[in-house]
Amino acid sequence: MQKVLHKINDQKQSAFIEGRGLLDSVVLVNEVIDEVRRIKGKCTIIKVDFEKAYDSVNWEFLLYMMARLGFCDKWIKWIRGCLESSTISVLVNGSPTEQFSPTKGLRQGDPLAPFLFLIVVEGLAGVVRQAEYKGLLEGIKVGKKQIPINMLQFADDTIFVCSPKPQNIVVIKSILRCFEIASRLKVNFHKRKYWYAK
Amino acid sequence: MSERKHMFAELKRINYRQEVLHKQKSRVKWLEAGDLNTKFFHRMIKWRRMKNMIKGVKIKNQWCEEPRKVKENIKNFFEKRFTEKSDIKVRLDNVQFTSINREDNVSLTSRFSENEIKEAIWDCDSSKSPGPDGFNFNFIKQFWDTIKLDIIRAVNSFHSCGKLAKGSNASFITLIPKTEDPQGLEEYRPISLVGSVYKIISKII
Repeated sequence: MQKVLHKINDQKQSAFIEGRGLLDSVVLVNEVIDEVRRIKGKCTIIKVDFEKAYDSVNWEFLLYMMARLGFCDKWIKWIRGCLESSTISVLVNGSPTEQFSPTKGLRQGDPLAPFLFLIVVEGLAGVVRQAEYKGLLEGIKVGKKQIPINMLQFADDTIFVCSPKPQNIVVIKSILRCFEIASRLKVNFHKRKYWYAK
Repeated sequence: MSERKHMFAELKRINYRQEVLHKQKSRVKWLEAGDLNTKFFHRMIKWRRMKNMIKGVKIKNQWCEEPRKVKENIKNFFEKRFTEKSDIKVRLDNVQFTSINREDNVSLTSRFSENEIKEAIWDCDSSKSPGPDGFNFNFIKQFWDTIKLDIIRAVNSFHSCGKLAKGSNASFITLIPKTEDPQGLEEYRPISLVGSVYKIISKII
């Protein structure tokens, strides 16, 4: 599974994927800030955090995303089998409670969880891409080739970069809201960081 | 004389065993067993127990220490957190995604070779806490030749029918405190310990 993820995941994502490093997004953000300072422009950077990201993943959405990303039925059936057969019991000071079967969320500690989570947040990357095509979201252009950057992801951490127009903020907010309804990943509005560069 | 020698060797062996056991319980990674570190390991165990012990929880702003009540509360809390009935309401049908091609799918669903399975197992850390089945990977690696046929059979049966045998996908959640002195259940990080068969399967797919 690891071998195919880099084909589907957007360039914006840099966690757990072969050939992409931990520092890629950090370097990019730095680059953006540098560029903005150089041309004495302005930009807005918003960092958002998902509330209990792993626990709130909606299984139906995950399976839907897998179908959209072109995974074949057999493989989706495997994942469904892995999710639905799981049972959990909580250890309290070494003694387990009665077990129950979960119907949502990914288990932290399950080797599959990080990769399935990437599939889920690829949904967000898709929506952002669509907004970009339609000219709704204006990123910051960086470098010689003037590559526009609007979002960077590292697993459940997301950073939006855009030019400081109220419209962009409204678009980002509606994207996040839309993604929340679809995937159940709720943005933690208390923990978000907002940074405005002059 | 020879008996004495024999007994002494036996004693040494038992001491070593005990030290290894203590090392495993203390979960110290940077020190090896064999240098009579038992005392140190023992202290680490005590310290870990103290740190990870759940003395009680706050239920609706009331501190509760009664074991049965605490346990019931914890179970209900996590059952609620991991269950949900609702379907998806919004689909991203209009959004374009890059999809993987047929060759990728073929390689994803091709048969698992013995080598692949072995690689997945050797990729796992030997001394990580075991799941409900109680086998850590050290055991599986040590006795690979004996149990390999059974494991390969289990993996292949998953390959063909996509189902896991009952109980092989059970998991424990242990609660790791996020703060110094946790009160409510939000202040614990739930970490799952999955069974070894499931771990192997999820590593290869």
